[in-house]
Amino acid sequence: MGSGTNIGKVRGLGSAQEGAHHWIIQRVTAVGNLTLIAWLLFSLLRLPNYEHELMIGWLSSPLVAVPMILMLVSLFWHLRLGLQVLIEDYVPDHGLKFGLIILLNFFAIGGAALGIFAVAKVAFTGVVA
Amino acid sequence: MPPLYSRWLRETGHRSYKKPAILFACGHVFAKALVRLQRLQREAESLIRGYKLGKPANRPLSPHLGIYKWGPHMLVSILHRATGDGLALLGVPLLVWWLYSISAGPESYEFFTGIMTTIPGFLVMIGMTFALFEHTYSGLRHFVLDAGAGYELQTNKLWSFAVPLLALFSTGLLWFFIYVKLIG
Repeated sequence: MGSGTNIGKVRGLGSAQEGAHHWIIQRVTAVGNLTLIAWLLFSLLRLPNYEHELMIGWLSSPLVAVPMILMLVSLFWHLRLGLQVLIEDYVPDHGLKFGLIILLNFFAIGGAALGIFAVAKVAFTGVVA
Repeated sequence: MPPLYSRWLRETGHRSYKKPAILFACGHVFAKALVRLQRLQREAESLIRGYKLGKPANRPLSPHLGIYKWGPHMLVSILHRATGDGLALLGVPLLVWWLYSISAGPESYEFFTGIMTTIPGFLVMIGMTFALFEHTYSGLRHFVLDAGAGYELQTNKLWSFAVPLLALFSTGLLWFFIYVKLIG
């Protein structure tokens, strides 16, 4: 760090023009989460029991499988943005920050893929009974 | 000087008529420059003093991070981040595990439900539902703040208190409902 003023250090290192995009997508996925989590809670509470056979029947319905997949996309997208801000705020070391954000991307995309595959498998292989 | 000469000067706008004004302007500029030079010198001295002390510049710092009083808005702000990160790192992976266990067969599903219905499992689920409600209500508060509303001190305080209380109430209500449904 030189002895220059703070504004002097910032000049020439302006924004990457990405802040608003991150902010807006976080809000858009928040609305998605709000709607789809509310659906999930009510849909689950309306079930008579939580036996495996019933869960298969429930999850294989298109009106459950599709919102579930949409919810996974919205949730993982939202959490990826949120955890990115967490890492950027608390990890000052550039190398570690870079590595953690790569890990975060693997976690978010891998987790979403696993969840979507599980739902799709139940939906396509159909009712056990 | 002929008596009409001064009138001639005034009417034609001859330069010599403006002489006092020019002198005055020069004096003004000079005085301004002197004041500015003195200020520059003071700033330079302050910079040099700061540089010797290892500080970049002797400027006022704001906000004063050491002087503050706890308020509900701080709590709700911290809870928003904490619950969001808790849901991201524990809640959503559990959700995926639940979906995976359904797809992987009855034994896998029973293994999952077996773990989640132990006392630590229930504590995690109750904690995650509280985190979900807290983060959701706090997120709704953020939508209002994003719209530029709710910054008045009393309004802000009211909703900052209301968010965690509503979250606690909703968590209690949900688990009461589950308890009545499954056991009661």
